[in-house]
Amino acid sequence: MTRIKVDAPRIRQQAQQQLDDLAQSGKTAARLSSTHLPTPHQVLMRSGSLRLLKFTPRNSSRLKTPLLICYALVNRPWVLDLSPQRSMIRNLLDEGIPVYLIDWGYPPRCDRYLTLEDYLDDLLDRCVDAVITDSDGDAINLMGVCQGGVLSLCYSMLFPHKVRNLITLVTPADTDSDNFTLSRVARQIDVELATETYGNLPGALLNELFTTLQPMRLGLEKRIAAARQLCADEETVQHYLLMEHWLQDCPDLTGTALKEFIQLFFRENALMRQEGFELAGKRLRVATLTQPLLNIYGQRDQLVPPEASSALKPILDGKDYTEATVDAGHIGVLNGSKALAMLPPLIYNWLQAREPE
Amino acid sequence: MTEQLLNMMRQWLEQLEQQQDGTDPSRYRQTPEPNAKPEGMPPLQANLLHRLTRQSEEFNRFATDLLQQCDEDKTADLQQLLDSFHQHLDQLNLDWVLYSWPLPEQLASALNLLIRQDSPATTGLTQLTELLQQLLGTLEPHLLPSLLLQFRTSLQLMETFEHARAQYLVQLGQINSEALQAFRQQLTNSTIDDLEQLHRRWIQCYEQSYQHRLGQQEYLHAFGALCNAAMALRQDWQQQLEQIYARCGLVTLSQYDELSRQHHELRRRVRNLERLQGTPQNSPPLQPRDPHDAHKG
Repeated sequence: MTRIKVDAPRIRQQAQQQLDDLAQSGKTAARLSSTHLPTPHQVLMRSGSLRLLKFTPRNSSRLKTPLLICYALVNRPWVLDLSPQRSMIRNLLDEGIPVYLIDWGYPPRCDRYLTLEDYLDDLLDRCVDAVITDSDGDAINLMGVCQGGVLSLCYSMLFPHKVRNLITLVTPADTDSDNFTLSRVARQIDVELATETYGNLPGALLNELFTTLQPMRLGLEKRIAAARQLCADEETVQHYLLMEHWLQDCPDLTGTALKEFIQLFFRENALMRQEGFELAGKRLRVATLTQPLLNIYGQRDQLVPPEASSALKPILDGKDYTEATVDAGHIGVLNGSKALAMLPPLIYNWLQAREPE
Repeated sequence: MTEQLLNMMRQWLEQLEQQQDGTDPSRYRQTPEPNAKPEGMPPLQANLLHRLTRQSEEFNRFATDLLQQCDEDKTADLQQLLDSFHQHLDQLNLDWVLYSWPLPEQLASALNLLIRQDSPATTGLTQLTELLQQLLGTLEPHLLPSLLLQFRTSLQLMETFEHARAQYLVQLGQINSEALQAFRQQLTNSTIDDLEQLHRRWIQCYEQSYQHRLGQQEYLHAFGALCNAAMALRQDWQQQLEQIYARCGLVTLSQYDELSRQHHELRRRVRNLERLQGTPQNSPPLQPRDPHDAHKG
């Protein structure tokens, strides 16, 4: 019989501390608000649940070509503007980059028949046209985040004359990579049945799927640390509450577009196919991409592994391709302190070097 | 429905009530009832606090158990500790599976009403399926062929779901066993002096086993089978509801969806026509339609 030593007084003390932290965290959590206060902006356009937001630099713009951010259809884009202290958008503005953001909103059931072609050829294209008109220019810089990166790649191939430079952030390009768990899990789901059952895939269900990828780390570990984090200074607590709010703010995914996305990019790994793929009535091949590409990803990304993003490099060999990595996970690239310090100046310098005279 | 059929159903329900004499059906629960949430607190914080409280309760329960297992030398039997931990983990797995892949609401209500309150959650559905099989056996000669087919399909889907859930629980059980084995190796010859550290070691062991299993086809098939079986069951109940709505003259979701599909078809045609004509209508409005949209947060 194996026996192990137990430091009983210390265990008692820790159990008591856990209770004390809980009592304290309850008081702090009740006092602080988790309401999101965005950087001042203007709504430039609406279409259904979509809103196109315009953010203007506080000082003069140092770039003429505006940056349009195309967020994923999964989760909400305000993670890029969580709080004044944690805002990619605010930091990009501080670099003098005029920023526009697509907020896809909460698609209602009647949008279940929106297709990928609708998203690219209609909604995204309208946004691009609106930004071009508003900025009095002839093209935009496009930055796609995660799934939005895939949409941005496709859009840049569909409408090359409207996109001057392309930036992809934590974008899944190669979904066949061995450690891409989300891709392997997604392939098991009968998406046809899912859309027939739910119409649009419920956001809460998708959240469950993400948790399934690391159940203990995203469950037990997070909650063990939570009580202590909620006893920290107000800024830390505020950040924690806002992140919790964001994590639970999950819009549903339009059924048809999701079905097409999983089929094309997860099951067929379309972006990696040399012969290309059909979308919006055209044959698209990543190798024919004409725009300079800045590909940014997290070294510790568990959701979209680095290999899945960096797979674009060999395809675009010999072209204007730049790669930047951040020592962060998936969300850390979007609003972690390292990324917020590193990426805005990097993006500005990269764009500025490619700005027409 | 004939009077004879109604009478038979009534008799069957009476028999069922007699079988369940003395039980309180409302006490059967698939998932634990949430604790009362603090009044006046925003929902997000209240929800968060609720989860933290449950976590803290578990943390304390584990600490108490650990201390109770200690003898005068301040040592605990490792096997006893791991056994109680194993039981705790299996319960967590079950809670998770029941929460993540719930039954359709109508079926869950039937389960709550008809199944004995002391039945384990995993066997509740089996009992319900058996009861419904009995009902089918009684009603079979009197049902219309279409209704009979529908009934059989629903039962088949329930059985498939139950089987998939059991298979997935087996997979999770195996992950627990592997993780506990790794945990045992880490604990041997060590002193437990930090509960948080102990939890973190466990999380590390578990995630390693889990990620290993997640890379295997067997696990992925079990996971996919459960997701798909749960959706098929839900869809079946939805279709039955649709038929009831249609018979009552109400608009069904399918009809609503069909209108949405036609609306999107029309929208695409308008967009194409606008493009062909090159008219300015396709330009979006450059000013917010609603003055409240000009957000100055």
